[in-house]
Amino acid sequence: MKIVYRCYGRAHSSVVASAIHLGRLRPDKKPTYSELCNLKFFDATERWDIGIPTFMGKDDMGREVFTLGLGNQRPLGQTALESLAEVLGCSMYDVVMVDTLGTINWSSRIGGFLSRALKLVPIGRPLVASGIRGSFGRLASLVEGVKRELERIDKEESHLRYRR
Amino acid sequence: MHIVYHCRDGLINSPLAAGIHLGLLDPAHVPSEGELRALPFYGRSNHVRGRLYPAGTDEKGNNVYTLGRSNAAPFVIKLLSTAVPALFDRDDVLVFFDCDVPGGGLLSSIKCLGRNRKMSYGWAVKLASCEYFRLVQVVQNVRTGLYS
Repeated sequence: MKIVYRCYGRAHSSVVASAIHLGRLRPDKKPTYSELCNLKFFDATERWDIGIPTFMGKDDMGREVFTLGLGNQRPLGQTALESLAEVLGCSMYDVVMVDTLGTINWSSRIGGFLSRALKLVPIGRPLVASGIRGSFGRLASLVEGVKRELERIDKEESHLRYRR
Repeated sequence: MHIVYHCRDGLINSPLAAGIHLGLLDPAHVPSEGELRALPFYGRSNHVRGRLYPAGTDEKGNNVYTLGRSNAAPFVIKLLSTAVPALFDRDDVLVFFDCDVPGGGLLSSIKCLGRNRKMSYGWAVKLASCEYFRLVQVVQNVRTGLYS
């Protein structure tokens, strides 16, 4: 199974969510500015990275974790991926898409726009980091919810295998 | 190999190109309204943008699809091409061919009026026929590039 955390430009919220999922950030402790900025790919992606799934690592259950930016084409991108799965004869149930954009605040959005789109990094990066710190609780709960759901699915599947 | 003909709305140009590729339309003459209506994937009203519609399999065994991708061609191509190995662990090759001709955006919009019955279907077909031979050229280039 693969978990894809998706956001606008895969520079901030999806990177932080994947870091929480992979245990690189503690869900119960707000990260410092430097901890956020030291995350691989945090505030470091470019416009042409949008649409490319990026492998972030494997979690403790061996599931592959990716980040993906869909820009302003989220419904189109989602439809395209579901359709591709159908064409290839794969199941979309094996690819869990988690939207992280809903968890972040306006400070992160404005900071992300300043830093990535306008290249005003000295202003944008502190703003986005402060915004992410402010919405860290929501991001952590989202990831915890995803992990709980995945554990439940795993248990159900192993139970089914046992019964077969 | 999966051959994907894509255009802005996925309703007219890409189904025409797929029809030419699959030999369902004669490249030598502009199809009549009846021939167009007979194309199973032409101008469908429940069309969803971003969805790959299977048009058939060509003589080399390659699957042919049509795709409407709004104005986000580079994004969709990049997403689908990179997702195949990364998310689905497959080595299938997808090749994409743009069927939008220069200045086709306006024509495409007008043709959509035809689809929505706000304009006569016949006029929409006439407008489509303006682009037919350019599409024939696109498909011939594709086939030459892939099969010769």
